[in-house]
Amino acid sequence: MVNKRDLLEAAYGIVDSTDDVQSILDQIRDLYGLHHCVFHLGQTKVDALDRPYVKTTYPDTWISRYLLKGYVNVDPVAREGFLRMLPFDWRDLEIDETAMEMMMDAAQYDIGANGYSVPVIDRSARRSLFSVTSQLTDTAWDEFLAAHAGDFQEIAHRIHRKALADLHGDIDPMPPLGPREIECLMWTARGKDYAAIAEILGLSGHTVRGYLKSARFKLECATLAQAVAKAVSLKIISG
Amino acid sequence: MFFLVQATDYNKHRTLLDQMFRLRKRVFFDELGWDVPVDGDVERDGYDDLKPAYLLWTDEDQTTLYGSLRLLPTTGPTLLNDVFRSTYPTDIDLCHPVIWEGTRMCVDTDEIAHGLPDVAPQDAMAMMLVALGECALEHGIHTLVSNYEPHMKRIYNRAGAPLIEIGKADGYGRRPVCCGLFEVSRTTIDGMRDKTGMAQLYVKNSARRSRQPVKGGAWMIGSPAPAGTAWTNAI
Repeated sequence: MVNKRDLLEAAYGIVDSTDDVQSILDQIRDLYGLHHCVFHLGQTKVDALDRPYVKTTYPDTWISRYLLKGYVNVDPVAREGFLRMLPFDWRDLEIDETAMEMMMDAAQYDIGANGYSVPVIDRSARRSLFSVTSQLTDTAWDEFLAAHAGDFQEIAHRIHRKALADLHGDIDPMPPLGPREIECLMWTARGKDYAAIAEILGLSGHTVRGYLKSARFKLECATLAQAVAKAVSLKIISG
Repeated sequence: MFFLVQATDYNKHRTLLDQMFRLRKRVFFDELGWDVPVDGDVERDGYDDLKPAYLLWTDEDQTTLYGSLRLLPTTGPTLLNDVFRSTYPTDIDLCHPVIWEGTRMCVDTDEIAHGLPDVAPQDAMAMMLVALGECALEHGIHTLVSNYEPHMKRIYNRAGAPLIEIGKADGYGRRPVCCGLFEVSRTTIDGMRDKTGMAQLYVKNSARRSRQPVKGGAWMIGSPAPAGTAWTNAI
């Protein structure tokens, strides 16, 4: 049994070592035992062709059906996903009659019993949407999400950056680390835990965790140990 | 009642949002003298174009606004980073999907006095904070970054909200504007509930409550409609 932290680390490893977004989705699906994954980059002005950037593990038969029936205009996930800012369970969607028709059709193509979507926004206000579906039914799905929803939020942002690199060849740099983030990393490098760092810096333990979460995310690392190593190698802190 | 309005429901709650932009103009421009963009009787800035989630406090009919707050994730453009950049270069430039910024928190004391005479003015902000904490916890937010005037610290204390001040900037309004981190966890929310005696103010999915159940059940893909789908939560 793989523990939770190892899963996120493995997910980061997949994103780090794979440039092809389709292949990332295949591997993330297998890693978490999901039924399907979909990544959809919002319309960008740079994309002169106005061609939607969508990668998915859905079966080709469903993708053809979806395009043929014009479901993109009906699909409540696509319709709401770029309007919402908070992650959402598909059970929270408002389903009108046309959407209901699509949902019943989708059930024939085995897309999954439950779904969860993560809206992404980056510093340039570019949006994307990462969705996962599962065959788990309600109670098991609730437990699964309680354990992994946070992972999917981070993974969504990492895939977003991969997709931008894929599409435009370059991406914005992550925001620079702030002084508090650097201090917290430095004390971590010296072997201090949250509580000890909090005492040294006169902050609450939760605040220290917040700074370290942010520092780790900016350094694009799954674990704090990796973030410290990366900060040392980038000479942000001394080893 | 307290509920979130995301861009999916902006149209449905257009009049409440209009009340919010007018309230913000009265509070932040007229009363506090903040350097915020005003157009006629409304205050709106570029961050309102990013499709933020708004926490609204309204009467039970969702027609009169009592208070509001704007929420955006720190992975995207953030007001606080832009505003505080000059004074505190990158200290508050946190960036993580579960760290959000809450801005423009305000209450309409006149409407509250009229519609909720039992709520003392000093308790109104505390109620907003409890609801904000509950809302953040419900949606998996780990930390809130917010700005406030120095006297607001008392209100955070009154609400039992653990607030760590991490920056302060002059020149935005008449008084300095502070920036703080508000920890969201089961423990801190329980602490706020104990201190204020208020609980479960925030109602999930309430922006979409309808008096009639959704026709045909709520969810059809391969599973029976689960209990607690959108409309049932809202009643």
